Amino acid sequence: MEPEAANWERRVRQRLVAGERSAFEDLYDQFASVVFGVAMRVTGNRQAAEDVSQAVFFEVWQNPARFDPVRGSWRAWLATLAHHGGVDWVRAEESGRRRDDAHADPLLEQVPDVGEALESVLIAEQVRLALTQLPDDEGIPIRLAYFGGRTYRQVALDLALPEGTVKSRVRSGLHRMAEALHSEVVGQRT
Amino acid sequence: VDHTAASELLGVYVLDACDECETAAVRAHLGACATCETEASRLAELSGWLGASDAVSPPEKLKSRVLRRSQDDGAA
Repeated sequence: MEPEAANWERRVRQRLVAGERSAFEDLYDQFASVVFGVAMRVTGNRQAAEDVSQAVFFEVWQNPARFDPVRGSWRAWLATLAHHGGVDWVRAEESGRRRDDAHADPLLEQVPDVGEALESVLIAEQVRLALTQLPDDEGIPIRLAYFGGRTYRQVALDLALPEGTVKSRVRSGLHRMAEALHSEVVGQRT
Repeated sequence: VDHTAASELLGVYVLDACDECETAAVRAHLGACATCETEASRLAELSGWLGASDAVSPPEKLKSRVLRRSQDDGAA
């Protein structure tokens, strides 16, 4: 990532650590749709996605130093937190009601760029593209686990595969994606 | 879990697809094994990016809810 954009990531962190509310609002405006989008995708439930989003931003407000700008971007970090939160909700719900609109196709939305690297939006797109280019035997279990918020055991049942096969295909698929991307995008960050 | 079992779980671990016990076991192993830690970091970065293009506009009211919660926290 170019220095200016990396600076934006770091500066937001510094301002948050200093307790600046305006930085928190900037972070929300830039990434609320990412956090809400991931939570929506995993939970398939608007109310749950709102609750997860609120919890993610509150966690960042309380503990901004957990974000490590050397190892990642705000965009990917917040998506990771939203994914954790969404999965926790799905696991808690599982014994009870089913996801109400799991197959809804939410409208995708572009956010205006306010200083965050456009590059980080592009990396996210390239990662998704790399996922679509995986062979199905690796891509499908990754999608079911990540976007469906399912455990690998559930994925194994869904696909009628041994658990060990699911574990190894997910791992090899992720490595294949990392190799495809490493030289062009993810690798530029390190 | 031993090294082999933990390393086999790394892919599903970074996708949040292990159960709680396995997640805790893998995390403990990562603290003790640099090889697995390196692999997990590389895969975890990728999984962070996986969701990062999934933008959906949240409802307007969410912003005030989020900001209010942080203010309450600041006042407490």
